[in-house]
This record gives sequence, structure tokens and C-alpha cells, in this order.
Amino acid sequence: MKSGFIFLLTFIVALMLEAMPIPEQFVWYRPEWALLVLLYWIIALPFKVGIGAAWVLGLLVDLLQGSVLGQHSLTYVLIAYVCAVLYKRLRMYLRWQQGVFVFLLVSVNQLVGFWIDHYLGVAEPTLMIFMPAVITGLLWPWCFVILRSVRRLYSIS
Amino acid sequence: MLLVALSVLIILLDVRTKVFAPVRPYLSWLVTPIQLLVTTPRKIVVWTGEHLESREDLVAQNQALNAEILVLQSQLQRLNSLKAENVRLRELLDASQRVDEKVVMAEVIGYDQNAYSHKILIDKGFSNGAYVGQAVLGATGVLGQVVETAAYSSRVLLIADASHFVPVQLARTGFRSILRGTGDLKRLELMSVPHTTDIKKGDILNTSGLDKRFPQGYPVGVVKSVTHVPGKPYADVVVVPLAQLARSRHVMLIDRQAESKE
Repeated sequence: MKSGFIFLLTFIVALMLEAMPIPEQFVWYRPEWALLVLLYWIIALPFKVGIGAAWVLGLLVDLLQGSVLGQHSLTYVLIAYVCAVLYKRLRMYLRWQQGVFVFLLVSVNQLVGFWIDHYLGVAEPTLMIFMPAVITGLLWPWCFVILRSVRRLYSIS
Repeated sequence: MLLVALSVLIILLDVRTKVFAPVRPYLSWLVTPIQLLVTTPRKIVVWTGEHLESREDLVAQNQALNAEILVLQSQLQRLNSLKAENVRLRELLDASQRVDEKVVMAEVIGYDQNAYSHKILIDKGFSNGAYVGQAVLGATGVLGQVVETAAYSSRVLLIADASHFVPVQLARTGFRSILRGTGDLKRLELMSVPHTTDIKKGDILNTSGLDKRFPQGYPVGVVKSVTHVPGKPYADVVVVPLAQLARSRHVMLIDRQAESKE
């Protein structure tokens, strides 16, 4: 019950950061907040937060960003699946190695999103699509430490 | 696996059909609280800023506004006589009357977070009478049109988005064409302009109203450059939007549904 409340709270904060208006020129530098929080919970508690949560979260992000319905659900489910399978190995990684792995996963998210937008004819090919992945990877160690302290503070396991 | 298939199904349904068009406003209820949480602090800051302004500032502002009203009123007097004259001439020509459009003011509460598309979020939704396809104007020119409505917010596709087109007319010569967004906020392109067309830098483009969506005669952009590339069938005409696409805070929604019902 308590753990469910904490999950909900962290996801709501992530969605708020996701919806925060930012200046036009920084639009490529916005990290994938929702994905960061999702990845942490899946690696930490793979039996409590899983693919179902990823799907619902993706749908909410779609509604929030006005993107094609299901676009983020699809990528979040794929990423959540990879993490849920590899969580034991991921826990053994060093923090920066995890960061690189997060970069790869978010790159997949960006690529699939780009394919869908390109299919709709609204996207211009640019390498900047990987910028959010770089930023998210760099943010991972801090996000990990913050969420771990949240988890320990409320002793969720 | 099931969820992946479900996601792909939803994507295809959303892209290929309009199944979700009626559902989406109600689904948006789910994220409305989050949007409120994000926009409320800024609104509070703006509100306190407005209410804590010093007396001198307010007096100065008031004087400036009064002076502006005076200037605008004198212009309005001329406009009124011109309007009456216009009506008379139209009666002579037996042409249909142009109705004054109903206007709803809205505030911009966010820019779209998706970097591929240029959309803004405004604080009026279908509960306030906004509808999909509604024209949105800024103080200096056309901004775009509503593409998605929730209860208390709507998304507006800007004219600079690569998927946006506006039918326009050159104010000087009456030449009609279609203005296409490029994905760059400061650059629009005029389509299919023959090399022989009389068009030059500084020409103003107005909405032609032929789409029945944008009201006729509102300024959209100004021609920045015309280049003739030998071998190309049409001239390359670059247009700069007149409205401040990225900076507008207050926008106007033109209500044409009320008009068409009459």
C-alpha cells in the first residue's frame, strides 16, 4: 500500500517534469524523466513495477505530449522488458556502465519515436534526436542515488 | 508481447483512422491534474507580480495605455466610417455581408515538448467553446489552428509546423497561393509561384479565407526573399511569419461556428 503510494508519487513528479514548459532552444536537451524513474523502479523492484506500469506510463506521456497514442507505450514496454530480463546483470554494473546502458535504451526510445514521426511525415532527420538519450544517461547516477534514498527512507522492498 | 501488440494496434488506429478523436479529450482528463500542477505555480507568480506592482509603475503604465487608447480611438473613428462605406458599397454590389467574428481570449500555458512538431498549449478547452479546426490569431498575425481539445486546454498547431498549410493572398496584387510551414519558426515557404509572378521582398501576405477555416484578410507573413533558380518550375519564396510564434502569451480564438449557425 505504502510502496504503491510512493511509486505513484515519483511517477507523478516525473510526469510533471515532463510537462514543464521549456524554452524553444532547449527542447532537444530535455531528459526522459518518466523513463528514468521507470528504469530505476524496474531494476530495483522488478516484481512490483513491471511492463504493465510501463505501458500505462507511456500512455500518460502520450496524452501529455500530444504525440501519437501508443507511441511511448510501445517504446516503454520494450525498454521495460529488456530491463526486467537483465535486472540482475544491471545491478552488478558500475554506475557509469549503467548510465551507458540507459543511454542505449533511451536511444531505442528516440529512434522508434523518430520512425513513427517520420512515417507521419513530420520529422526532419537530425542527429539531435540522440541528445535526450545522452542527457538521460548523464543524469542516471544522480537519479539513481535520489530514488535509492527515497526507497530506503520509506523502506520499500 | 500482448502489450506490444496492443501498442502497435493503438498507434495504427490513431494514425490511420479517427477512432480516438472523440475519446482523446476524455482521456486527457487523466493528465489534466498534472498540467494544472505544472502551470499553477507560474500563474501564482504572474498573479503576485501583477498585484504587487508599485504605484508609480501602475500610474506610468496607465498613462501609456491611455495615450495608446487615444491613438487607437482616432484610428477607430476612421475605421467606422470606412466600415459603413464598405457595407454600402457591398449593398450596391449585392454582395454578402461579412460578419464580425466572435473572439475568445486565451493564454499560452506551454510549448509542445516534442521537438519535431510546433504546437502550443492554451488554457481554453471545449468547455470554453474551443473546437478542432478553430483559427488562432496573435496580436500581430495568424498563429495557427486548434488540433486537439481537452476540457480546459487545447493544442494549437503553429503555421510554422511542417504539416501546416494556409491559403494566402498577396495584399498588393491579389495573387493567391498556399503558404507551407517548414518546421523552422522563422521560415515559411510560398508554394507554386511561377517565375513571372509580380512578387518582391516586403510584400505582405493575408489569409485568403478560401479554406473556410481562417477568416479572410488577416496578416500571416511578409516576403523575405524571392530567388529564381533556372531549371526549377517555380520561384523559391521565403516568408517570415508576422506573429511571434514562440513568444506570444495571449492569443485570440476566432469562433466561426457561431457565425455559420446564424
